Amino acid sequence: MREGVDREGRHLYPVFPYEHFTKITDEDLRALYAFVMTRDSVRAETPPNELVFPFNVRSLIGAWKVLYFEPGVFRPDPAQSAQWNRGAYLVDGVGHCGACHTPRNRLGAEKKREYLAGGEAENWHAPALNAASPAPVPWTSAQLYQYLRTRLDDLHAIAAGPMEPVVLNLRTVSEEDVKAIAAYVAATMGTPGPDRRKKTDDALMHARRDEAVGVRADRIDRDPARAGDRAFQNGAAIYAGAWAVCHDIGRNASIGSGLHLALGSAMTIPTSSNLIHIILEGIAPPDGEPGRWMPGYAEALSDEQVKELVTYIRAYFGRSPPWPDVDEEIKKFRQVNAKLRAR
Amino acid sequence: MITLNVNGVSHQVDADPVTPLLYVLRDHLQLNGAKFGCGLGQCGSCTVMADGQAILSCVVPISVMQGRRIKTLEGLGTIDNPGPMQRAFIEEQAAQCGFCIPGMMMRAQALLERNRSPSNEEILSHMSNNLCHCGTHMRIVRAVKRAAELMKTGNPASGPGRGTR
Repeated sequence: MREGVDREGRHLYPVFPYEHFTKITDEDLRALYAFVMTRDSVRAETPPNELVFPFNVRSLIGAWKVLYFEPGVFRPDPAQSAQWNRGAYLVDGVGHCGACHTPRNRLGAEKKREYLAGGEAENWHAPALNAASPAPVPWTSAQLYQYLRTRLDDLHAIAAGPMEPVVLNLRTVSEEDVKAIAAYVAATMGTPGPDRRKKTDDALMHARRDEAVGVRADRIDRDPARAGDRAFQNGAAIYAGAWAVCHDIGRNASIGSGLHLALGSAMTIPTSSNLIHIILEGIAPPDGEPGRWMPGYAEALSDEQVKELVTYIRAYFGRSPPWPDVDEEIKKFRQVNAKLRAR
Repeated sequence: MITLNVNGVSHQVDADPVTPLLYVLRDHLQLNGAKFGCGLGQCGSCTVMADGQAILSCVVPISVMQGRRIKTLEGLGTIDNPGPMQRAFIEEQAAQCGFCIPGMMMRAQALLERNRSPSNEEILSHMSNNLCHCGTHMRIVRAVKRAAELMKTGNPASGPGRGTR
């Protein structure tokens, strides 16, 4: 946990996030050890190392650690509040939020200068948690707390993809600690400037205007400037026939309708990967739990149709320039899915 | 005009491209097997097949269904000559009110067309999108297994359905 070496003294691959766990205090490490040692032992063979050369040479990790690994327990910042420091300790240490939310360099090390600036997890984009946060409505500490506790805050999208199990795990964490995480992340995001606030007002106005009208199937006529844009029109038709019934009226717990898309960060992040994941595989409640689900469209839509839908949603709801990576991300998703199915 | 291929027959449909497939099946083509349950893609009673895959016809517009091979309950057999999936559901007496059953059969059909011998676990996970308000899920699972047998042997299994217990 502290140094990234196993019992035999061999270097561990940083896929085990000791870069973060090194920050855990002695007291917490002892508690973790005590808990783990009360578990029943099971026999589990370590899968063989299938990495390609030179990554399969374990001793090279030593060099990697010299370059990128900074061992050492978390040191509180006396200039900050106790809650901020508790949050920083949990986020950077045992929570290892940066493992997904901080971008990595070509050797897989977190870029320290781009702390929590948006990274990747399991082919999903993990949005920025710093000032570059793509959330159409800037997060407050209270909203982050609500989200981390329940998967759902009124003005933000549901926790999906690799974030879903994180939120489920946070149920076991004390209220105070989750509040500390929320407060620290909100502080890292900072106060939004006038540009950001203008965008927020636009997104909220867009959502409220649509919600007031209710479900409409005539979106295609709404934007005369795009009358000749066939892909956009086709995308609008798919949205109107498939998604509008649930998303046009905004989120309503009693009928289970979903967030208005102008408020979701999948539309505003730098990559189309999350929106494509959500379109193709949908969003289901966690195993064994009740709740509404969004059906996936992997079977219903062709790649071309997915692209049209993505293009429309990005432009109309995300109010952002087209993503350059749509074809690539759709292909990636289909390949990964085909592999999973073949298993 | 949009051309839809349903159960091997081409239909010219005069409807807004945004119209959900379910409405066109029922209102234009009088194929009333697929049911309107929730209209939100939550219950599965509108399930039909497109190119062998189960889809929710209430939240799929016809604009995306051109050139796809659509199959509905009516494509599985007739009252006089029910197909193996339908026979299995009858033999297991898997329906109570029956509203969800067309969707159940279509989703199960999609599974069996790509996996002739699904495990219990595979059946449960594949069918989990479709809800039955009456609670006949266990009979439905038995019917899917029986359908798998019928499709393999091509013969109706003998004896009364176990669902009569």
